[in-house]
Amino acid sequence: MAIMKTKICPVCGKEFKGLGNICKDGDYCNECEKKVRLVFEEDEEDYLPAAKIRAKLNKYADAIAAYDSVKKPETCPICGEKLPKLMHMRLLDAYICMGCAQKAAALMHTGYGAIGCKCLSEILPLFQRAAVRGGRADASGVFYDADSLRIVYPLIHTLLEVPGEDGYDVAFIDPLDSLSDEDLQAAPALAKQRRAELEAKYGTHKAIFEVDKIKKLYNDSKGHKYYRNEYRIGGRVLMGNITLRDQAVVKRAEGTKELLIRKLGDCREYISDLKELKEGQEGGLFVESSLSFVYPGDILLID
Amino acid sequence: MAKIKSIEKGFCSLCGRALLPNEGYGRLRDGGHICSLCTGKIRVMYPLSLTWDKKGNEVRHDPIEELSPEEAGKALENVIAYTEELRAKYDHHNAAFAVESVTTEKGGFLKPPIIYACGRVIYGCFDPEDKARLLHKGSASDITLTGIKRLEFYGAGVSDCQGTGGNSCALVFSGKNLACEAGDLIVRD
Repeated sequence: MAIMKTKICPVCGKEFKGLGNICKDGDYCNECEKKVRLVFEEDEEDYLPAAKIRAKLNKYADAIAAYDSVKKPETCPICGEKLPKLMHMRLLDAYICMGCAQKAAALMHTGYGAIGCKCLSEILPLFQRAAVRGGRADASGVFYDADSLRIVYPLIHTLLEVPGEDGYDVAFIDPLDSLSDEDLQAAPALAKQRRAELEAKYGTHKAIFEVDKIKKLYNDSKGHKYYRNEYRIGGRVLMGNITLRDQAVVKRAEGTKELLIRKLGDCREYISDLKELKEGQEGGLFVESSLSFVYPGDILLID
Repeated sequence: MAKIKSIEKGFCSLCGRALLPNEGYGRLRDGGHICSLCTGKIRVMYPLSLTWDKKGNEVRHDPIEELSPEEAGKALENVIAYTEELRAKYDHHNAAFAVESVTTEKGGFLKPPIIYACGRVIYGCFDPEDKARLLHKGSASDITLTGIKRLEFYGAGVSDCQGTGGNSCALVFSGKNLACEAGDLIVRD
């Protein structure tokens, strides 16, 4: 019978008897299966060759060997909050709270369960990013607030291609993460200079918004577009913060024209429920009036 | 788990944004690139030219590809002043479209013909269901645009686009006793 037949495990090379566990190169032994369950999500290894399974087990060999000796701490090593009895996530070499696990899953663009197959050393750098911490510290420990530097180092919108999934995920490249210490120390002065330049050019206003694109909105019903008198003004906040129901003014040769901002959205065109657009942020202003007098490249003065 | 990677192909020489293939990006003379947003802004100063040769192949001439990064940057700074000059030239209308050729189609039983006015948006933007005015031989007629089609392929089954400054497109409208020919202007207020 096949069950009693001696087989060679393609992962560790040892002989074993029994049904074994499925991988792309055949059945592997239960000893390896205990380790595989720690570093792979459920059934993920079914379609992987033995070489890849072996490589991952070798990568996490130390963490797997020490798995049973890890004790649950009182506080989360990432946020420092008290670690709840049940609502926590077990990593390979640590315990973290559920909130940090969910944040890590969002930052890594993986499922919540995949975080349990990682080590703390892989997750901690995500929380050191300037956008997550709200700023960055230089080598001497001086902390620089990210929001005040976005006027010169705004987040750069990009897209992530996730294999096996249709479409793209929105992501941001943070220039603050790759700045040298000298550039970081010079950044506040550069931000102040930029602010002064904008105020000298456009005057003192609550916010200044540069228009990139104007789009007329529509409802899609059964393949037919029904356009409505609502527009999305896409662009970037050059200075200041914009909140709901702010008044935007555009200067034309024959006079100024006013717009009332009904809704705010971020760089994703379908989002329209933000409360505030911060300095340096790309986003959209939703306006419910005819917008034929605004052009790409225009500057909207918000008060 | 398979590696997740970002799709940007570099950064815009003018504004620093990521160049995303799905949004498109323009090329400059020195081989550098500018993002689709910067291209769209300066397009009104450097209109795209689309023609077809005798075999029906599209011949595309983009003056932005002949610019250096410095020239493109200067164009970006001056684009609004340029647009204001155009507005002053065209009686301060908010958008203007120059008709280069006209095609008509039967509208159906007891319906007026459908007019496809092909040409170039001089400045501003035109969207479907916008109210505009057709200026023909000194007279002005009110029209409602039922569609905006890309010049390469237009017809009832093709989805609409937005007509933006410097780009060629076909404005679709119909109405009783409307006359439209090359040289006319369609404006929006």
